[in-house]
Parts: sequence; C-alpha cells; structure tokens
Amino acid sequence: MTELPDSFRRVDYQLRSAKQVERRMLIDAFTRLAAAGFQIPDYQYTGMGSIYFVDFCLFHKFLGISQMLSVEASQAAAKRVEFNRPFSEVKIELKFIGDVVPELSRELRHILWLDYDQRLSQSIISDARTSAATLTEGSILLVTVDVEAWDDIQWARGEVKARLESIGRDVSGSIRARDVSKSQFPSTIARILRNAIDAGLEGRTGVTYRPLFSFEYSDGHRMLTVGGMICGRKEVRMLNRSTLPGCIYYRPRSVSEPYAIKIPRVTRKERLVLDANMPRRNGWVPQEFEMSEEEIRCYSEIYRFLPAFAELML
Amino acid sequence: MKNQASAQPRKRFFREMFTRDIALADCILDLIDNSIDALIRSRNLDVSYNMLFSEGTEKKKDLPIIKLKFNSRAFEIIDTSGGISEDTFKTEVFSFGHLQDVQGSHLGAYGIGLKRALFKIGDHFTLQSRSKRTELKVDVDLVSWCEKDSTMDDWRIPYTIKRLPADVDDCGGTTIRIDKLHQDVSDRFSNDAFETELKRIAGQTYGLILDKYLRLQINGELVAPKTVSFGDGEIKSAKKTLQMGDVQISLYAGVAPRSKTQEWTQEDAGTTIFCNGRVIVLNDKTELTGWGTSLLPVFVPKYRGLQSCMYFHANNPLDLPWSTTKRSINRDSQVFLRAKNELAAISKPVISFLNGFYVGDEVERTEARAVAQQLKVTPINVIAKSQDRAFVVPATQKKIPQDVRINFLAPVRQVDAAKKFFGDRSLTSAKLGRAIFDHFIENECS
Repeated sequence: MTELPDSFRRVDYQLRSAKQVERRMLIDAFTRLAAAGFQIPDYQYTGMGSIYFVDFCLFHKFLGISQMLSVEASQAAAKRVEFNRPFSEVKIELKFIGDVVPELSRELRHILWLDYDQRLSQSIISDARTSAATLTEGSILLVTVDVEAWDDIQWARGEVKARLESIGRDVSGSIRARDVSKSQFPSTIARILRNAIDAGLEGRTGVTYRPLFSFEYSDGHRMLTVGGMICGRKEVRMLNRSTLPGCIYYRPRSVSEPYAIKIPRVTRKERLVLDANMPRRNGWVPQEFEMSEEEIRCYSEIYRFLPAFAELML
Repeated sequence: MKNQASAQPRKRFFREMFTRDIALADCILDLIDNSIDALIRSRNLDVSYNMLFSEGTEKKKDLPIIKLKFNSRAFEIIDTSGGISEDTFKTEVFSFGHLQDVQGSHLGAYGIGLKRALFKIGDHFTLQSRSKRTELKVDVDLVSWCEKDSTMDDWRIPYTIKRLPADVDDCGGTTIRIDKLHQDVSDRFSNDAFETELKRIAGQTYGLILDKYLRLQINGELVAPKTVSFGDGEIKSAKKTLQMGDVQISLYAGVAPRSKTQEWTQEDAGTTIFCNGRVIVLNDKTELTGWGTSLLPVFVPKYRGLQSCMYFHANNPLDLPWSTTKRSINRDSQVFLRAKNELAAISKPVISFLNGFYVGDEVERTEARAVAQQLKVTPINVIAKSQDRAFVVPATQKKIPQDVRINFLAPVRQVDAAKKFFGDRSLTSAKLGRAIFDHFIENECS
C-alpha cells in the first residue's frame, strides 16, 4: 500500500465537525461579500485539498467558484490526489503552496487558504508575508495553524518564548511570558501572523489588510484560522457596506479574542426539537430533555452551520 | 528686525565630516559615474531600462575610454565624454546638491559626488573641461579655500575660460587631477592590493556598461566587466516585472552558473541590486535583502546555488532606492520594500529546489547533480529578454527527498544516561542516535 503523508492519515478530513462549521461560516461570509458587490464566483480558490477536497466541493457548489487550484506538497500519493479530483476544473500542483503563490494570476482575485495542520514555523510566516505581497486587491487570505500550546514537549515558557521569537524574527514583536500561556497562545500566534501580513504589504501604496475572521476550534488539536481581505480604497468601501459586521464570527481586529467554535453534543432527535425553536427567542429552553444554558446558547449560535453526519446504506 | 540664528554652512564640516561615511573606492566610483553621465548626455545614449537587454552599439575598440591614473603623489581621471558647458560649470559643478531634479537615467543623483571625492582625496586639485570650443579650468588649493569662511561669497571658486580655435577637432572631455594627497590616501594608492580591489569593484559595479558603451582603464589596464549570470538550460530562471510610479523594476531568481570545477561558490551567490545599470549591492546574503528574516531562511551553504537580482530604473535618479554612497540601499524606500517582498516570493521555488538538492547540507544527490552540470552560463541581459515567468525545474527533478540527515551536539553526561537506558554502553554515537530516534517514533508518533 502506498505510504500516505502523515496529514492524510492523522485526520479524516471529512468528519471534522468544527472544521466543517468553520467552512460553512466562511461560505456564509463569502455570500455576504458577494451581495456587497464582490464577484465571488469569479474568484480563484487555491487551497490544500489533500485527497478529500472538501473545501473545493463546498466552494464550487455553494459559491459557484469554478477556477480552483489544489496544492499538495507530498509526491508520495500523487496518483491518489489526482484520482480524487472532484471536478474537472480543479487543477492540481504538487509543490509547496508558498512556491505557487507568486504564480497566482494578477488578473484575478483570489481566495487563498494556507490551511496548514502544523505549528507555526518560519516558512508558514514567510508564506503569509509573500501572499500579502502578491495577492491582488479584493483577494482574501486565510491562514490556519496548530496552536496547541508547546508544553507537551516539556519546554519551559522561557524556552517557548525564545523559540517563538526565533521563528517570528522581525515580525515576532515583543513576546512576554504571559503571551505563551495556554490561554493567550492563539492570540500571540494571530498577532505574529498579522505582523507578517503587514510586512508583506510594505511598499504597496494605498493597499491595506482588513481582518475579517479569527476562528479557534479543536478537532483533536487546537487550531486557529485568521483571515482577511487585501484592500484598496474601493474594497474598503464595499466591505463597509456588507452585512458581515453583524455576524457572530466577524473579527475586524487582529487583537480580538478569536471566535471559539464549540460543538454541542446533541442527538439527531434533540436537534429536531432545537431547530424547530431556532432562532432562539425569549430565553427558550427545551422541556423534553435537560440542556444547560451554555449548551443552548452555543447551539443557537452555530445551528445554521452545524453539519449532520449520517451513514448512507449503499 | 527679528532675531535670527545662523544656518550658514561651514567649509570645515564638508572637509572633515561628510567624507567620513564613504570609502575611498566609492568616491572614485562617483567620479566615474560623472564621466559616464557626461557621456550619456553628450552622445544621447539610451541607458534606459533597455540597457538591461542591450549588447551595445559599437565595436569595443571604438568605444570612448575613461582613464584613471594614480600613485602615491597624485590622482587623475581623464574622459572624452563631451566636457561641461559653461552654464553648468558656473551653477552646478561645485554646488552641493542640484538646483533642480536631474532627468535622464543618470547615475549621479545627489550632486555631491565630485565635491566629496575632492575633499576625500587631497588638498589641491585642477579641473579642466573642454566642450564646444571652450576650455574651462579651475585650480584650487583646498586648505586656503577652506580658511576663508565668513560669508557666502567665500563659497565661490574662480575659473578661467579660453576659447578654442574652430578647427580643433575634439569631442570634448574633462580631466581632474588631485594632488597633495592625504597621507592615508597616498598609502592606499601605493598599495597594489588597493588597485586590484578597485579594478574588481569597478568591473562588478559597471558590469552592464563596460565594453558595451565605454571602456575603463585603471593605471594602464583595461577593466573587464563582470556580468551577473544565471545557470539556465532545462532549468529556467524566474522573472517578474513591476512598475511603481516612475520606477521600473525587474526581478530575477534562479540558480547560479556552475564554476569550471562544477561547483557553486558562496561568493557568487545571493542577491544583487542594480540602479540605472550600476551595481549597488553585490551577492548579498544578509537581512538587507531578506535573508534570515520572516521572508527568507538564513543563508546557509546549501543556498550557494541561488542567484537573484533586483533591477531598478528611473529617469529621475532620486526616485531610486539607493543611499547617498550609492553602495547601499535606502532600507525605508517603499520601492525597495516592495521589490524585496516580491523577489522573495519568486525565489521560494529556487529555495525549495536547493533544499531537495542535497543529502543533509553538503552531499549532492546524483540526479540533481546531473541537471546542474548541464546548466549553461546565461548573462542577465539574455534572461531579461524573456517574458515574466516562474522558476521551472524539469519534472524528473521535482522529487521531494525521502531521507534527511540529522546531526546535533549533546552533553556527554546525557549521552551516557541514554546509553544506560538502552543497556549498552558500547553504542557508537550514530547507533545511539538511531536508537533514540526509532524509540521516539515507535512510542510517540505511530
């Protein structure tokens, strides 16, 4: 059997509930951007589809995006990646995604998702920086990294801080000891990525980065996705007209706490009752079964985005 | 009358201070720049962006020549670049700075090169310029000139003017002679190593200009241009062009050509920066061009196969991102910051290629070496003629390596403890490393 890269084997990409909520929130956001005048169906989506291509299926079907590029660094399963291509319009490149970024067309706008399942590294920071340097105005950049705190390898906080500074180099900013505590670690990583994006925009007169998203979730490992739009003046005006600011997941400031995606544990039967009473009004609680206020609140925030998994008897 | 404080310039400052930040060789290059600029003006040379692609227009032996001669007693630069008009002589040549913006793709930007060189090199100079049947001459002892510094009238320099007969057939030119050399300058000029170094620097700095538009002779020997070249063939260098305001930028990234012994040398690797055809920074491997920052990895020996260039061109030299010494970059220039980011972006595939080229950091993989050996030396002006393109590597060479070598130091005490853990004190370091790695993979990663 061909040896698959670790990332393929570690996570079955099709069953990650929190990741799926994140994807559906992004689709919701992109739909609102389309309503504000951004021609989302004409964007090119570039991502790291692995062998599952989940994002590609969703973005093609629900956003109408037809220009798609999936990038896979591992040569080991080249045929398997090719075999699983979901649509004829999905191009595949077997390269590091950072190597592909400068080749993205300057005639198009892009949604570029640097969806790493690794910890922050110099090369990830560099990819964020060069993406900001080369993406056209109106393009959306998303970066996902593992933000599990590093105390699982017995490093003292001082060492973690030093290591982070050596990875971040000129964009690490000043990192205090409390910035590498478990609770603050994702925000610190988000800040470093924001600094890298700002550094990438140096010299691009009149172009700014508008943060839009910051998601934190856990599918085994604690993960963070930050994202925003590379904007000229026109794009800033269009963003201000969009309905995105009313959304619960909207994060216009990099220093804000990320939106934490929490998946309440509910059964199929319970969901039917809950959904019939959504959107939640007047502090409604189910009478048929016990459920904490926190769980109901959590469900009411994400019920529109929560996937339902079922087995098909084929 | 309002109270007023003096803002008068002091000659002593110019004589003692503003020569400190520039090296002697760089001052001499400024004088060469002036001669080249005079040639551009007098012959209406096209040294625009197109110079990057050009092979030149005349046979080498017919090209105008700039001659430098120096020894422990005197320095002289003689050109046939058309000379200086009387108007320019009166208003511009000895002023510090230009009255108005310079236009026309020049190398001289700030209006201080000549003055700085004169102050740096010696205490006495003569400057003679012939143009359009007029000969202008100044003869200045800088020590006594600097002693008079009360009013702005003391900042004037007397000159003589002679009308030349109409039948004198002379394309015009300028000769500058400096003597009563400063002791440190005299010592440098007597040193063979300085002369060799100056020829090397000049050959690199004017690599795109020499033997195409003019020749340069230093102490009787013609300076050979050193061109920046790439290794091309099945591998194609990347190219990207941009326009920022009035500045045209072209960026190149690829592998360096191999030496005659089929190696890449660290000296010839790194990032080179041109402004209006002149090399400003050569083979840089530092943070200046992004190495060892959030943009690019630290430049380690395995990247000695990487060659990259930034080429800036502007009609107004003040739009270019060079420093006042023209041997470095203004790091805050928006043009440079943008070019640095874009160049790093197109360099990444080259870095990925070189990462996969070696076993560990030193040993070349056989199939990779075979590709490198067929690379042809391709000067930058040939690459410049291509359209914008990405770095291309033949498909067979895109394999990502399956093995890497791991090396590290560990304290003896800890090594002994590890051997005790495995129950075998006779383990070699290599076998111990292997055992530790296998144990970790089996227990923590599978």
